[in-house]
Amino acid sequence: MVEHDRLNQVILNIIMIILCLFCVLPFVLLVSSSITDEAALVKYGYSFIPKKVSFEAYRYLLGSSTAIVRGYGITILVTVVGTFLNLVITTLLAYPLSRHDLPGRNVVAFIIFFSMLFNGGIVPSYIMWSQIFHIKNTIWALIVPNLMMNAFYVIMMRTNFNANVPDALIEAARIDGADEWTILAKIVLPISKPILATVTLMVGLSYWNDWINGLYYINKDKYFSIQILLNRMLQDVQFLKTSSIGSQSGSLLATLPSVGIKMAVAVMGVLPIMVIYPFFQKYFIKGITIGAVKG
Amino acid sequence: MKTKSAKKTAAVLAMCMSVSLFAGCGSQDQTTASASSSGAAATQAAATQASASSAAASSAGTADFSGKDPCTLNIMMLGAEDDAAKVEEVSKKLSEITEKKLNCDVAITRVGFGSYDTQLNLALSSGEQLDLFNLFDMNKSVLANNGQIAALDDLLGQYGQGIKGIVSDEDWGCAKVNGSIYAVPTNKDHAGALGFIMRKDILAETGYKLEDIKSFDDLHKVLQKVKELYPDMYPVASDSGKMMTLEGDNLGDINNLGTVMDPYSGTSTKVEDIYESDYYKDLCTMTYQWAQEGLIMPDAATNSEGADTLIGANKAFGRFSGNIITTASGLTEQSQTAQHELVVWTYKDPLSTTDATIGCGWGIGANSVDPERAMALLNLMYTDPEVANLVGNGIEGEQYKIVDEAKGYIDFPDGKNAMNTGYSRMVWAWPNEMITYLWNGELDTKWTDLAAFNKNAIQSSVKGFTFDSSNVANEIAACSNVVNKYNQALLSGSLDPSKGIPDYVSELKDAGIDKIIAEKQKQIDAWSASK
Repeated sequence: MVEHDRLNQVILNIIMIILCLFCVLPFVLLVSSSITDEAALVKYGYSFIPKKVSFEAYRYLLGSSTAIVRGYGITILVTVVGTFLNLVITTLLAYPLSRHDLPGRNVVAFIIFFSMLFNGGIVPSYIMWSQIFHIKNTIWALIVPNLMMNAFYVIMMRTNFNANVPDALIEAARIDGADEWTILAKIVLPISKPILATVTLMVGLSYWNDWINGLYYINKDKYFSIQILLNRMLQDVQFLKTSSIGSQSGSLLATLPSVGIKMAVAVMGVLPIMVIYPFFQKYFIKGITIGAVKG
Repeated sequence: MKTKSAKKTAAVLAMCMSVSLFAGCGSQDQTTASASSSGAAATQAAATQASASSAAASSAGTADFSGKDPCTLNIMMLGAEDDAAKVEEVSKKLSEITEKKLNCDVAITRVGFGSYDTQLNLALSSGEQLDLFNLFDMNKSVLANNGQIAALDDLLGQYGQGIKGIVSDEDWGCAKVNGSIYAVPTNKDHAGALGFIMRKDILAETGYKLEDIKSFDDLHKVLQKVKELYPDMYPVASDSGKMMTLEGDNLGDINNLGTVMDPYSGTSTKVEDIYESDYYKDLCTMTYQWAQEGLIMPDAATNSEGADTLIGANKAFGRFSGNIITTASGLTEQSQTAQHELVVWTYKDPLSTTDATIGCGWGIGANSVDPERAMALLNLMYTDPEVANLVGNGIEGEQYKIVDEAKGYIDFPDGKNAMNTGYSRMVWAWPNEMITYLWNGELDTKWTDLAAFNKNAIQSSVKGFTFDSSNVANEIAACSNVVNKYNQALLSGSLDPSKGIPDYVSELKDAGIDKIIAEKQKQIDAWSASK
């Protein structure tokens, strides 16, 4: 029996190690190619150990190119403001829905759920945002569409409140003289930290990684976030590969950044998330496994 | 993450379909409405022509708009690494001119070429005010049939006389959808030859001369010699995964789903599956052999580097190209990128197709605030060197400096290069590059050579035909996936053609290539009958 367990452990560990390598190795390759000398990169291709180390790409990005520094600023601003707004809206929507004494809660819940399954599509959304709200080429274009509220998070949070905040607790607080705001701020939110952290991380991540809004609504370079810049680089290459624009592709190609710079931008785009992730991880697991353990 | 994006894609697709449904319903009204309004404009013009005041306007080449309310025309144009503030400066400068001549302002928007199609599509389908734009890679048939771009025949007659004089009749044929003109061809190269571009210095070292290369067998010998001299160098590189362009007129479809194999004769209009042909089989057999001998870069089909970059890094000797301009200055741009002097062996003479002619043409939006003034502005960009230089090269001192005033040579100002002027130089995509300054180092015969090149190119037998793909959109999507899977791999010799081509052909058949070819043939037959 013990022997059998050991064997299992070994096999499972090997599988996990292989899976880990699949995840980690491309990233290592990315980092190492970002610090490889450009000429060596083109000449010898990618390698795990740089043939010739050079930080030229980073020096260029941080020094002579304002676009990346500004892009970082925009991404951080959008992520912080957007995540905060999303969290406020989601909480204030999910909490009342979790209360059994809210009249018409099923109707509201259904409307929210419905919007998860069906939406207006890209052209009507574009018309609404650009012609009624006029957010095109403003910072709001990166914050408001699609990301500021997500029905999935509302439902997830409501379910979590339902499962983890007993009615008796709220009743007890009310008997002690607390009003609704006090109950929310002092009772409900503190015991719901895991779900708040989970939603924060998920929303923050989707803001950080968003480039769709940039593609649709932004063509002023001062609002380009880091992901928009990165996506543009990829799209430009893809375009040259598939388009029938003939003789000028050479001159278009000349405007593209070099491989080393692309790699460096990718590293810089992902770095902050990697730094933050471990701190959120413990909440993350708790938040997802809602209702498994009841206090 | 994956399911989410899949969901989004599905939603977008569904929406596009339903929108195009509605657009289909609406387009009838829209065309009649625009027809009646242009009819009204025509009668109005006839009335003014009778009065004496119009004589001055027509002699000056521009119409008189001083009686109309001032407006702002929006221009959308390709760009790369543009600084919005610098673009605005150019718009302001251009507005100074247009305020005097057309009584309107101009606002230019530059959009990166990777996102251009998306943004243009959104702007057109949402009904935003968009007056003048580069059609780039978009299919003008689809846009015209959706009623998103305006018919230009009457406008050209009234306000576009300057353009009419420059563009040849054959080229106007390429601009037509259902008999009406919907786009104005850009005055750039309208043809391309097939050839092999290589480094001049290494070719000399091999002992062969350019004149010695007369067939692929000769080229093969050169490549073998290069391999011998420079074992570390790829004799043939792919250009960002693109190995070579196939012969024939692909009717604007880079995937060659139905090709007119013999457009050179001037008469054949037969559409065939090029992948079933002996030509394709021989070509792939040849590249397969080359690849076995190590003459082609090993990961050619997935390479993401530009071939010129590889040549510049001393990593490659040469590459195939499908759009060579066979003038003396044709290779200067590539030579600059590759940092070596290049020569070209041309194995198929320049062919002028619809796609080469009208690609990057200019259109006027159906939602233009004033199509007449938009056309007058286009006319100005086409005929006025000051305007053409301003939009194409930017502002003197900011984006360029004059090197030789008399001959009209310019260069980047000190400390500036293509990446940091803030207003990217894509003079070829603006309406008329042939009246702009020459770049320092270019031959002074560049524009006359180019005009002669366009004129002398073989005219494809189906030049003027534009395929409307809407009936077979599903088949095209399915076939394109198959093409992506096989084509470049076969052309770069990484797949054995004796097994690869039969698989390829049968998968294409399953994906419905025959239906696409039949549809193309049907439309071509109707087109040639109407000629």
